[in-house]
Amino acid sequence: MKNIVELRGISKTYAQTIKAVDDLSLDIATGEFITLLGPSGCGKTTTLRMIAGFEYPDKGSILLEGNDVTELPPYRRLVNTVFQDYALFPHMTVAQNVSYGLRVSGIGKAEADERVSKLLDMVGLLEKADTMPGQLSGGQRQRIALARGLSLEPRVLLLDEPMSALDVKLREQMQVELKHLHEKLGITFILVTHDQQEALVMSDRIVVMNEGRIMQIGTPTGLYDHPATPYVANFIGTSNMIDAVVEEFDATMASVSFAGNRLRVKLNGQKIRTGQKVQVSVRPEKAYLDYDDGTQGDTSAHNNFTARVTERFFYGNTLRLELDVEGEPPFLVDMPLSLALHNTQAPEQGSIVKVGVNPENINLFTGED
Amino acid sequence: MTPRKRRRLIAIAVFSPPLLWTLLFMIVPYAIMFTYSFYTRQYPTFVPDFQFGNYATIFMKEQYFQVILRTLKIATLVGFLSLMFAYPLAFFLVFKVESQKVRTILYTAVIAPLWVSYLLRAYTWKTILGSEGVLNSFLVWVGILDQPTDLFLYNQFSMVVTLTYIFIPFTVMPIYTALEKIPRNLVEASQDLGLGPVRTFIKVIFPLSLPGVLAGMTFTFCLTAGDFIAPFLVGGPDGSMVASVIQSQFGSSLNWPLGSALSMVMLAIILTIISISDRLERAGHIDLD
Repeated sequence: MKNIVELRGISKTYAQTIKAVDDLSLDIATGEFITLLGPSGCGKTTTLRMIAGFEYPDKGSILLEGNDVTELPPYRRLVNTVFQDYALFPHMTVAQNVSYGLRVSGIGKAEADERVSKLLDMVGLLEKADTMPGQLSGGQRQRIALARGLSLEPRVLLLDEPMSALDVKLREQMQVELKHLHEKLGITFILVTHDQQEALVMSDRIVVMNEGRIMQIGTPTGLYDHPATPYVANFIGTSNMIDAVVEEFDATMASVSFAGNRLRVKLNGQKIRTGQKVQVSVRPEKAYLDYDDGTQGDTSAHNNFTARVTERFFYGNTLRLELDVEGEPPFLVDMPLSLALHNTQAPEQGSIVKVGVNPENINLFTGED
Repeated sequence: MTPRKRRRLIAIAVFSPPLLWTLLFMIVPYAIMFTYSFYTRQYPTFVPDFQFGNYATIFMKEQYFQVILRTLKIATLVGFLSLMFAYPLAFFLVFKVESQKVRTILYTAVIAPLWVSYLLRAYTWKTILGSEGVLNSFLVWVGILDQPTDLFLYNQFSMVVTLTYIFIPFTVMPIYTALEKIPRNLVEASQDLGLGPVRTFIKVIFPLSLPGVLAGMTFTFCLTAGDFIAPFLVGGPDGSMVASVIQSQFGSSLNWPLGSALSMVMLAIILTIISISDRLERAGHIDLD
């Protein structure tokens, strides 16, 4: 697959001191849905704005379809943007907004009208063609912004936190619609978001950013199951982070100790030595309460340790238990409620439980970061 | 006393002074002027009457009729000229000056002349344009003119220049505010869709700044139409404006009824323009927040 966007060592500094983007390189394949994910101020929006042409990098270059566009203004680039607060022209109707870029691109009136109808139909707002944007709801404005962004049939569509202004229900619905649209159109989508859920649901690949740098690039499942750093493990989903010490290891497995317990961990090519201080992470839903009643299958190869229940949180579909393991930071275990009910009752506060974790579901981190 | 009654009393106490002020010094004088405009003149005084002779004089006699037209022409010229200078200035301040601090300083510099006495500012132009003035001296020194000319002063040109200079802050302010309210991402969206800076200006920035343009031009127009100091200082025989004529009717000409009638005609014209401008602004009002 050919790369449609290539970022080569781009940097952007604001006010001489604030490094928004720091020597960032990234290849984006044609047709993929890629998400730049990170907390606010991590440089994801600046990166997107540099691809759009609203900002120019201090260093490095930007290639679109193999051509250097680093110095090109936004109106000379084959990319379009869906803005965070939609940026619809308030003095133009919905149809005028969508056709805005069409007329100057040399498309005749008849063809432009046809394309506008098609786009409005696609986002389900054909009947709003003559409405002013001010009279539309947030979700409708978002769709119009999307239709406008697609009007010039760009090679790349940039989406700058397009769903941050929508309420949760609408956001989930738009996520699905956007994903379908991407599959249908086959053009490259670059999404910027701070919402890891959104990134996980929609993306082919996720780029986790922090302080202007890329922390890790991977597929949603890859990032979730094998975060490369504690930062990624904490940013995407929830993780129990445990400080541990390496006891012994071979090529594939390691044994670490924490709070008097031993954990067997599957290695993923990490270089470790005996006695080294490491961090291990476990997803709350990957740990379970071991009842020794055979309902959990063969758990003989799994890790076990005991803990005391300190808190219980009801989440509707899951029950989250906060456990105390010998004075370590609280250890979280998520129980699907079907399972909790199967065992007739979840453990009471203060009761002692046995926690089980599969060695494959533990990640081991060596250095800081 | 019930709380409700008390609140009403407080409201009356708070609002009656300004209401009384407005009534005494605005409404009553206008009413008196309006009554006077129907009186008959009997030199050296005038008698109560109800007749339209004064209004007829204004529309029949060339001199009064012409002076109103000239006033409106000069006011229009000043309005447009102010716009020509104020718009680029406001645009520059809002879109080209990146430092907030520099922008505030420059904006204050634009507004600052308003704190200087009006008379002083009008006199300044007398010094610049006069035959012994800065402009003449310069042109003679450079060699463009052999000797100083009095062409620059005491005509409509000098009036328009002076009034434009004096009222330009009133045009800059509303345009600046209108431009500042335009979200930057609209400009970016336009460029993103392939429109360069010029077309973006024509299709997005200018239309969205129109309310400010309208307000600024209305201010300048109305202020100019009522001005009588500039014609007095820098206007020559063909630079006299309706306000100076009105002034002389109440002064040397001792024709209060005619002066009142002229005032009423001007008041009607200005009120019409303000209400049209207001209606246009409302019609084109777009919520940018």
